[in-house]
Amino acid sequence: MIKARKLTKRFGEVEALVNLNCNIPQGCIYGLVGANGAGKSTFLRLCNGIYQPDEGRVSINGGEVFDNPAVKAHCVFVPDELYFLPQSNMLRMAKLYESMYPQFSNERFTELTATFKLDPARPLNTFSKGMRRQAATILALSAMTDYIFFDETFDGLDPVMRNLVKHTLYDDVLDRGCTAVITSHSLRELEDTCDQLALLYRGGIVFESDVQNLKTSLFKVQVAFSDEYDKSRFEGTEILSFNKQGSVTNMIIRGDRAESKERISKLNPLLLEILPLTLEEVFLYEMEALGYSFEEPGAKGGERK
Amino acid sequence: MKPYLESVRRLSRTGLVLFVLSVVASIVVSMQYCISQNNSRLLSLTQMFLPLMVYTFAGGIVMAFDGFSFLTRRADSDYYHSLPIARKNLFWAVTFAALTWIAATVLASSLMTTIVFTLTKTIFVPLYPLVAVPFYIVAAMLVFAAAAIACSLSGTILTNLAITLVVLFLPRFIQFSIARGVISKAILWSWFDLPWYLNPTTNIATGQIVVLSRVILKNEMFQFVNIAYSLVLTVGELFLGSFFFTRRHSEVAEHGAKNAKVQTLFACLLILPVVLLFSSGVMSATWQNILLVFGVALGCFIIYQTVVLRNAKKVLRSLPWYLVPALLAVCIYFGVQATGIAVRNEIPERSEITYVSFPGSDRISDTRSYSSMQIEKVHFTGKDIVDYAYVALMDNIDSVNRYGYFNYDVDPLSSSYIISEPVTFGLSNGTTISRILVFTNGNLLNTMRNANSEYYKAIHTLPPLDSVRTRQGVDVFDKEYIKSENVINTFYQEVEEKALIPYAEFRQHTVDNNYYNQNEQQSFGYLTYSGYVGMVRYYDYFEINLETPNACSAWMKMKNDGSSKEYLDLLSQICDASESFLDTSDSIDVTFTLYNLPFSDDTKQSMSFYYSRYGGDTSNSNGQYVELAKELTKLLLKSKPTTDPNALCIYTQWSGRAMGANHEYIGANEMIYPVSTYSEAYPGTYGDVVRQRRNRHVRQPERFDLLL
Amino acid sequence: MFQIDRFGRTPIYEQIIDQTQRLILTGVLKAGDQLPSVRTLSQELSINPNTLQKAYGELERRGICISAPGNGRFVTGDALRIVGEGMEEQLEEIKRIGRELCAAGIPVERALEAVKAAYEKEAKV
Repeated sequence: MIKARKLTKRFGEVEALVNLNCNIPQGCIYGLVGANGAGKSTFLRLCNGIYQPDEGRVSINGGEVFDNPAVKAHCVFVPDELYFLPQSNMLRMAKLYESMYPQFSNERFTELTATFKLDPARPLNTFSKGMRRQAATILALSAMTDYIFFDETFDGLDPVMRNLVKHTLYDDVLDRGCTAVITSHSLRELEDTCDQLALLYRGGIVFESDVQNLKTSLFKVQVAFSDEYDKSRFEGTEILSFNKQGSVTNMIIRGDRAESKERISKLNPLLLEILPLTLEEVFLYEMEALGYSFEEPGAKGGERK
Repeated sequence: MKPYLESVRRLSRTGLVLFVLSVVASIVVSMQYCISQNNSRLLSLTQMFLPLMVYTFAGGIVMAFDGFSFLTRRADSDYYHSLPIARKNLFWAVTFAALTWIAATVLASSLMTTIVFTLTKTIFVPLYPLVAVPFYIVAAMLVFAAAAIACSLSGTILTNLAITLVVLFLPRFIQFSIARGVISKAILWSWFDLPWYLNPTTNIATGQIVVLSRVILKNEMFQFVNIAYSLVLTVGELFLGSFFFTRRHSEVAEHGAKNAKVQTLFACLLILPVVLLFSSGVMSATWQNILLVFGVALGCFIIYQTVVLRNAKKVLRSLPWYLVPALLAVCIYFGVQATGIAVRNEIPERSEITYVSFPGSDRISDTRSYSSMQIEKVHFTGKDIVDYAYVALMDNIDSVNRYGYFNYDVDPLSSSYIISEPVTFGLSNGTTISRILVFTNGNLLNTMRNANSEYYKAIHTLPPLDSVRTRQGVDVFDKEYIKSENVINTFYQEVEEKALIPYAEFRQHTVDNNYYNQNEQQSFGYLTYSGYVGMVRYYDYFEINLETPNACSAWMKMKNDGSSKEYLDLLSQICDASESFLDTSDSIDVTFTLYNLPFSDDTKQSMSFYYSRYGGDTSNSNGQYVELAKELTKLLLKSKPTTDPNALCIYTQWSGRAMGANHEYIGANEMIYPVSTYSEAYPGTYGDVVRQRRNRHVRQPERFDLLL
Repeated sequence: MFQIDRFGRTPIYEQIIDQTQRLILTGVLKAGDQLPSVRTLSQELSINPNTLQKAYGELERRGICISAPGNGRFVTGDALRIVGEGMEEQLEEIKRIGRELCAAGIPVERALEAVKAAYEKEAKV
């Protein structure tokens, strides 16, 4: 379990993370989405012991990460900017990983390089950017650690490769209870792969939830009445957005779908349609409800308005 | 273990390149020396291992910058900090990997140098390679440690380099300035007398730079105590580097210290050397100089801050900090002045002094005299000599205080001779005070010293024959070496039999100019030799004179054996022709030395005539000697070789060429090549020219009355 | 066995549950049949195993399937009945559709005929 409590990190005058709290349970694939500069990479780096928190702490399996090789041996990181030893090939890098990670598996390494059709003896500086990303992913997966962190890795992989990695991850989750933390700009990417999602906005986690819950917690209702009405008719329903045009209203409701449907149909509407939302729409409405707008300056961290 | 091996592998690219470069350079430089004609002297350690001096800095810095290269790039730095290895262990893995490469390089280079010297039969001091190995390893690691600290503190190569230079050189520069200042103020002090905390050679890395300009300290540096001190310093700096490394923020990569405070500190450090100019005594503290120096320093400060901070307000705010190094320099200046005067005036109580010793004024030279090495060890405890030295100390201090130097009035006709000697006073509490003193009566000093039996032994002891490596400029492997064997053996025998003082400077001196060429003082030549004892090389010469007639005889035999053919007739012809040379490039150079000429005061004296002319010379400069020369050469024709030093004899050396009346060179059919000896001065090997160094002792049967 | 629309608006987990229920209703899955393992499904459909676990967990909670550790998941005997109970609410749906048809002017006989035809078709299967 990865636990962050009041995690704060500053670079000079810039506050990258402010009072961040989150729990990432073991065995889940956790997606972290946010705009550029939100702090995703910073958070991952704190989880891997690259940065030291200015305030608060981040711990894995109960042990604080920073300069703690016992804990770090369970984590492997695939960064956004990749590093390889100069003039090295994958075999050389595998040796480096092997010397650092006690559970490194040469079998898996060979298997994965074959599956991804990469030549492990070829110098890495002759690989294309995508291939290099694949190589880094293979090396990380071969380390057989309990925690694996991907910083915008999937954004650079083609769909076939993405699928391959996903499947390997799924196997690891099932076999070893491996936990993966993936960051991305794109919800689409994460929706597919993850079972937990969190939104990082200006240095704090704005909300996190099970992916499936997110999709079911909000829905769109299209309703029409023959008589004049307003929002007060729907007393007792949590409405995030109310848009009335003429006699037809489109509104976004949070709650149980069946229950809400029943309640509204008791009001005898002319028209009642319940529609699901895409994940992106869910995010946008949640953010609005929380009082965030993307143009608002100064809003910071995991605090609501 | 694995991280260590991984680091060794990672450093192998640069490590191997430097290894190969260093070994190849060692071989090439050694070969260059060993194969050259002029390879018959014992090289100093630095000269022998010159490539390693370069490696000290190149290897130390490159290994550190390469080993910690991941700290200068964001992606690299993040990666290494994400690995499950304790930061401390990562640091030491890199350090030990660097040590491995450095040790291997130093070892291989010294080994190759030694092999080249051995295989080419070139003489060297055997302890030097043994000392060179730990010396250069520790020196390179000391540089590495400074660079490691720098890399741990900042994140770009440029700032790393700057901090390395500051860590490595600034403290020693300050120390050097202070030492220099105190020495120049104290006047009676020398670099050898400094206490350990002012001694620049305790840091064997920066010390190598210092001895480039202060050659006198060269031998000092290679002592075990300096290597040990540097080792301790290295370990300390490495722990400091480890401390910084562990605390380092990974995000520092690719940034120098952006913090304004740190930059200001750096600016202060940078101008410190400038404002210390006065303390070191390099510049005198006149008002113009003060304004100039502090003005320049302020200018540098402002320029640096402007470039680095890029904000006029910040630069202005940091300006007051300029006063810190400025004031520090002023304090140091006054401190140095006061210390210098204090040192100068330091006089122990007479009762505190238990002994005096004389380290020897040749300690400043590259090679010492064997005698002074022995005398150095003698502790003179006799009351007379201690009093004498004590009085000399007080006189010196007094004179320096009054005039700024030792001012002495000496009657040129008196028999005193003035010597300047370093003196060490041993105190009852175990400490010592060392000064350089001028003694107005060297003879008296020597007489007093003679009362000490150890000193007596020291000035009579000749260097052990098996430690001698060169004689007359040729080394033991040279085939010419054996030729002087007899001379030195005979000399040693006679010196021992007659209990003579073989070293010229310890004999009584007189101002009488004529004394040196009378009777027993007639000198036949000088036997030069050099060798080593332990780490110290010595060089000296013995005068072969009639005090040791057997040695003179052996000398004469050696010289005669060295000149095979006669050509005295040619000499005579050329001498005749020298009255009016036909060709402008004709010349003659001949020296006649006569021995045992009977004088009316019943002394036997030696005299030399030097006759030289050349064809283009229209002035008749040596005209009055031409007759004498012709006479002497005619006499030579009637003479025969001798090895009797007590007989009336002539020693001749000549070279020359002349066009004969038939417009052919005299003796043109003789193909003669000049003998190449250490004393060879004439170049040229034209086959049709007669050039020959003729060494001959001849006996002349007739009396002649060509006396002054 | 399942057809999952990953890019639709219905959550995957709901789709699994719905489709399982449908398969039971239509008799494709009978009591005692083994449901595919999470691993197989996850590989086949490229779905996060945790999502599948969740779906199966919900099915278990409702009593539709039961897991024997080490052996797999099996449809319970009660499954059909339980799923059927949920079908009651479909009658409300028929009411709603009926109102719409009425509002459109379609005679009630036509509506009843349609329902009857559906029943007959289902009985034949």
